[in-house]
Amino acid sequence: MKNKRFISDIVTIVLFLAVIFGFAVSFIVTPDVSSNRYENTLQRFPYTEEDGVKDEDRAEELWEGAIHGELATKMDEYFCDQFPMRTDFVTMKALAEKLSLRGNNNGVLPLGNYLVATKFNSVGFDTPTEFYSEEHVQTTLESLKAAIDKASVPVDVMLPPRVIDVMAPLLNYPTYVSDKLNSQAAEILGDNYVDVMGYLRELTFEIPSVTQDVGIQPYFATDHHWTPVGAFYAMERWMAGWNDVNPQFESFDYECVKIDFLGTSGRNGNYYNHHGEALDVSRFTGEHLIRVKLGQSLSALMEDDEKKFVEKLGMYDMEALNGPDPFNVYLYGKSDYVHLQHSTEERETILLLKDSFAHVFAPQLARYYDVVMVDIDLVNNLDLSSLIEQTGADRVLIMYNLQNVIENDRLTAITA
Amino acid sequence: MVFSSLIFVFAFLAVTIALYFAAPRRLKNTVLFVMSLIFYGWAAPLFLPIMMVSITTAFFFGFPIAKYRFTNQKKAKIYLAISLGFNLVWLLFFKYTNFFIDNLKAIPFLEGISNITEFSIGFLSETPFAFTLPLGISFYTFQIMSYSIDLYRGQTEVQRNYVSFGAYVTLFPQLVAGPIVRYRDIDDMLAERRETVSEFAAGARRFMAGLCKKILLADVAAGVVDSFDAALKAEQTALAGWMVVLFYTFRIYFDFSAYSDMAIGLGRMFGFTFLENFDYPYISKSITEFWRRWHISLSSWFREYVYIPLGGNRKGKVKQYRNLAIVWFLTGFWHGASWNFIIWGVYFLILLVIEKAFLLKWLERAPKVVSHIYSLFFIAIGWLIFYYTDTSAGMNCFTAMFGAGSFSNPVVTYNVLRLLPTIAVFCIAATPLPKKLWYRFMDGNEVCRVITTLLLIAGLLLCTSYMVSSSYSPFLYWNF
Repeated sequence: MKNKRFISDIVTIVLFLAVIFGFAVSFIVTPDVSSNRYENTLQRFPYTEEDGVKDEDRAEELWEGAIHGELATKMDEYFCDQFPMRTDFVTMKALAEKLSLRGNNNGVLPLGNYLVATKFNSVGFDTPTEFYSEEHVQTTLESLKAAIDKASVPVDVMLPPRVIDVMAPLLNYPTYVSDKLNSQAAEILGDNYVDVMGYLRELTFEIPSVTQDVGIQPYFATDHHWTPVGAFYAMERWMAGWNDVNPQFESFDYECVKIDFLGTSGRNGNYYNHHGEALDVSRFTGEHLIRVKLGQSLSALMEDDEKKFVEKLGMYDMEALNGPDPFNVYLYGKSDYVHLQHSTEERETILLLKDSFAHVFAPQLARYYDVVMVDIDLVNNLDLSSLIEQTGADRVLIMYNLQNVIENDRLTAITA
Repeated sequence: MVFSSLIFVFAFLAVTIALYFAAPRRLKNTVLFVMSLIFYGWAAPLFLPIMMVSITTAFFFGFPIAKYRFTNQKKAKIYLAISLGFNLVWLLFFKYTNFFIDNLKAIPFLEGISNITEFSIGFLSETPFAFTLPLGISFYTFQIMSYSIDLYRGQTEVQRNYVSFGAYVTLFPQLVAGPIVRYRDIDDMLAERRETVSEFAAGARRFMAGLCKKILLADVAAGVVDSFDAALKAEQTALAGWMVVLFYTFRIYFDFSAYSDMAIGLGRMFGFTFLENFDYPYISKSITEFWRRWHISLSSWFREYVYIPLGGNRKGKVKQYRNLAIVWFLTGFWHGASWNFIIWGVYFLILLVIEKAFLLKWLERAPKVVSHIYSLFFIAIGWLIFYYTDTSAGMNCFTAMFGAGSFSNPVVTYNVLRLLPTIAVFCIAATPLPKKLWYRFMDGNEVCRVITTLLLIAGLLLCTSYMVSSSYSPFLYWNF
């Protein structure tokens, strides 16, 4: 009997095999790459020199990997990372999630024209979530508060809010968790807490398009950091009521140095079809007089021994704009220790115990103070008294964003 | 290797199809056997020898069982017992040892015995085995047992070709998560089968549909379950509790039935016809009906090899309930060495006994909507028991659902509202409606069928995009 479905059967078989064999052959003939425009480290064929395995160790590592199942895991990653048209495929998935109205791709939610991380790897939870452990935050901040209370100079704590904390009211996202987290921090840290969440919320507005440089948005639309403008207002909030300094917005110029910046949220959410947004740096008169010293140890910076640190011209690394992470333009990316020092004037010193939010913040603070920056993430035991003594700091600002607070306990490394 | 991975679809399957259709007829089973061993050994090569020992013992003991089954029943029974023992010992050892030791420890005067046991087998914890459950052991053990038992009963002939027998046990489409294929259902196909254009095309379509179900429905539901489970951990709210149960109910059905779809599809591509494993279980009007529609191959296995040999319903009510109790205890325990699975089995036993006693008759007369709600409610509560291996977390969810905490919080409400379209799609996808509509409007002529194919190819590409960007996502039933 004649098969009435012959044509559709043949079409099915031809297309099915074409897709499977087409991509299989394409995978084989396409050379491996170690990175692409959006991703720094792609898995290459495992257990080769490119994968960091020496010739003499290869057989042993391959055997071990095969026995323990690591080879299978690495091969899965290899297939994902080197698959033909990888960037197009992951973008397709992001768009499919958006069209499905669920939207949340890898924890990033498109809200208005913002790509906002809403889920975090909070301590105490097995999967990324919008929630956090109140117990963890309590323990961490109480430990910090105990250390602060013993300090010999004024210590303030600024916990820069996440994008979702600031943008939530504008983007019709619940502020429930953000408010609870902020209130808890304020209650534990008391007068030492610099509460910027509400202040920054007042400055937000819906941007017509992220491709348009609107100049004064407080947070990037595609990144988890604040912009130089957001950092300025946080600084203004911190210094409100100080007698000696009164920062004025007009004292800074904001210069756009990149127009197609796709930040961490954009990249994590795989919205590679996004055109990106403007990336600004702050400028002020006399900026060229700030010495920027990067060191691997605090003593290297403070002893002013030129052999032990690198001195840079300017606070921004313009070469980073064309690199894999343009955010590294601010203070040359992640450095353990940074000293911003006026070359001619004697000024008060602020010790900034920080994470990456400070990289946008410090270049503006340097207009008024010398700044010694110490990275909280990279240092294990931060003896506050000894740091104050070594740096001769007149005041301390601890800047650690709320995402880090809920995701790790590194703030407890700050001891008395 | 996972069906829903790039390496399976674009490497393993491509190579297997090429080798299988290039091989002469007499080598086709060899190709399937070798490729199935690669498939199985890919992530856990250490467990290959265990499976091979099971296959080999069952194969060789098959000869004396067949020789004596009609002439010397006693001898045949001894060989059968040895064969079954050799197979079951691996399952008991790897799946249940930790459970027994942990529970013995809880009994004060048996603590010493359990410590000795633990010490004597403690050396294994230093090896890569370390009580990791070999993939699919529950499935292939049952398949092998079906061969030995059927042989003993005279319901099938002895398999004299080791490769063919090996291919039956290891056949990669159904090796790790079923359907549990009885030997007598495919022994003819092992010897002689025809691969045709229409069967290959139908198999490819079924495989693609299963892949879409797994990636676009089951994995999405899994993410939602995790999300609300975390919400529940942060704050006890009724809405989050119900969402966990609702989406886990979707997830386990889509996940497991997707695997069966892919297995059946792959089988058809290579000329095998496997029996259906699911028949829209969530449209059931009673728990009895649900178990006729859910994991059909497992229910059939227990009915045929446990319930009926015990006497089934032929020896009075008391013995029938005893037999049911044994079957449901084993069904629960088969799913995992954890108390929640045993409770889950007992839970369904109680519901089935109540239905048999009086409720079923009442449900038949009740409005359909009532019986549907009744069934779905108790099925969902069953999945709650099944999901939480940590009983305190399970109780936290259960009490939240029935008002122990607040009704909701703004984040949970926001997420529920955002997921309403997804819930609607899932509800429809769990019913026969899409299939009915397809037969009504799309299956009538070739143009519509070609359009269907194009949609499935688009689905395959979309699934590829999820596979490229996602991490490892195994099937739920791999754990069992």
